[in-house]
Amino acid sequence: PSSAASPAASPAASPAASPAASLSHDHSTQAFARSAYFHSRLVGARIRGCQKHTLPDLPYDYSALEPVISAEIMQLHHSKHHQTYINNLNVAEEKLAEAKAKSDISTVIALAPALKFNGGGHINHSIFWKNLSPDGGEPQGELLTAINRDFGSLDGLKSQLSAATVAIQGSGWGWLGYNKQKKILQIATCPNQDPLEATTGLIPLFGIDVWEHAYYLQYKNVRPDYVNAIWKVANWKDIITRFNAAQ
Amino acid sequence: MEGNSKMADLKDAYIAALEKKLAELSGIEVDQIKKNQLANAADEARAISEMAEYVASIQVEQAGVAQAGVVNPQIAAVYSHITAELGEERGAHVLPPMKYDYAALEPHISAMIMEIHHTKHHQGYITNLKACTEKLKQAEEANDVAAMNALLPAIKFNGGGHLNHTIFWTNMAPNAGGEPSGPIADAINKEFGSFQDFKAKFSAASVGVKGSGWGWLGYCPKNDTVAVATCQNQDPLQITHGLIPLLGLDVWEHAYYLQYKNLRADYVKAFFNVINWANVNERYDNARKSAGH
Repeated sequence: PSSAASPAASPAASPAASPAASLSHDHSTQAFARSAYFHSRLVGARIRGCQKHTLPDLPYDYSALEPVISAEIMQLHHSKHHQTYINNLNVAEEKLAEAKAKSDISTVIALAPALKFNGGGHINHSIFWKNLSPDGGEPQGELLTAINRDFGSLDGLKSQLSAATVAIQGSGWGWLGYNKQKKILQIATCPNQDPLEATTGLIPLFGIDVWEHAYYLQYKNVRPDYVNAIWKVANWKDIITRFNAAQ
Repeated sequence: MEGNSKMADLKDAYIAALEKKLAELSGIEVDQIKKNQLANAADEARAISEMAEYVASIQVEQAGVAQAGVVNPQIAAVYSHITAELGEERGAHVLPPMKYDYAALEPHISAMIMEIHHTKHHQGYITNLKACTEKLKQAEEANDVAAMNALLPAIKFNGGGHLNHTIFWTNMAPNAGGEPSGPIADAINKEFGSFQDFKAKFSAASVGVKGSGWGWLGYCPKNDTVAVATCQNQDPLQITHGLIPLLGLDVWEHAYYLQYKNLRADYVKAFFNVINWANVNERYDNARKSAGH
């Protein structure tokens, strides 16, 4: 599986830009040609699955999380890494739509890793940007009660999640998640871009990206410094919102 | 009556113990339907024999994991490959010195990357490997097989990291790169058609690693051929794919990010300017000899 984006051509979209113009001046023929052209575009769009994913805006400037996370990292992370997952997800979904239209089950299955990797990357980073904020407040209310109940204290949560996240071998994410069945908070880690909910069933509340691209330019190999610092920009308002929605 | 119900309890307990061990060994949860069948079966003998057939049909993937009281052979394998590469005995792991300056591979790989990669990342794997090895020794002295096997992921990760990076430094050199000559060139042409085809395949595989990992050119002792392969994280090539490592490319982000940022493909392309084909030939020659060719 290649990480380069190469948009697949959809057969229905191949008619030239304005076929209507190349036909006779007869009005009814033109009208027919125009409607046939637009119909073919619509059919093409339906086959492609025209809901393309787009990069969500960052809720703050690239420099807003300094000195915890540098502007350079935020800009590369958002406009390059996240964008690439989105581009590749769109390509994979287009290929998926074509394969489904042809009932090509083998291709559908072969696309699964690319969908998980790029779809997971899109999901995870979309959560991440909202999970961070220059003024995210503190945990309170029912979330704080749950934290004290499940981890002893906020410090207990921080030290456990930080330890688990630092210990990830290779690329991945550390998560504070919510277990809807047991109605408790839980810590989990996922490798690469495996999405938390699809992988474990836990509802994602707060994620820490520990792919090296998330911290290397600033923290180099010292992942623990990055993980310890990120708590200063945790957006507890967003985490509370997610916790409430998960109840 | 009481005797019958006690017998039923014992049977239930026995079956529960069997099912639990079965699930542990096979990683498969015993089918709830089968459980219900067993509970409801009028003909108990028939139900038991079906269960026995089901048990017999389960494929045990890794004998070392399935057998009780056996140390996973991968642990010894990691250390033996390190000894074969570096000559150092288990526990006596040190950072091998670079044969060239940190700046020697510029402009293809920056001095800053080389220095941090060697003195921080590689050293980190060695430090952690020594710590694991201490714990392994303690577990051995306590005859605690479970504790020993529990150390496998850390030993593979840190031992693999030490081994992989050791090979990597020798795979590169200043005033190197270009196209290979000698036996490895012949093997590459035979397997891939041409050097350019090999380069394209190796590059695509390395760029395509999802997350952290390595691209490899390895030697297959069984078929006397070379092959391109990738590994995740620090999984050692030989233990993972059975190939002897000849040429490795680290595609963890720490290997290129300071210089190439997200553009892994540019880094992979630049790598071909620093490949030490003399070293690859030497490894190929040794690998073939050790395989009896």
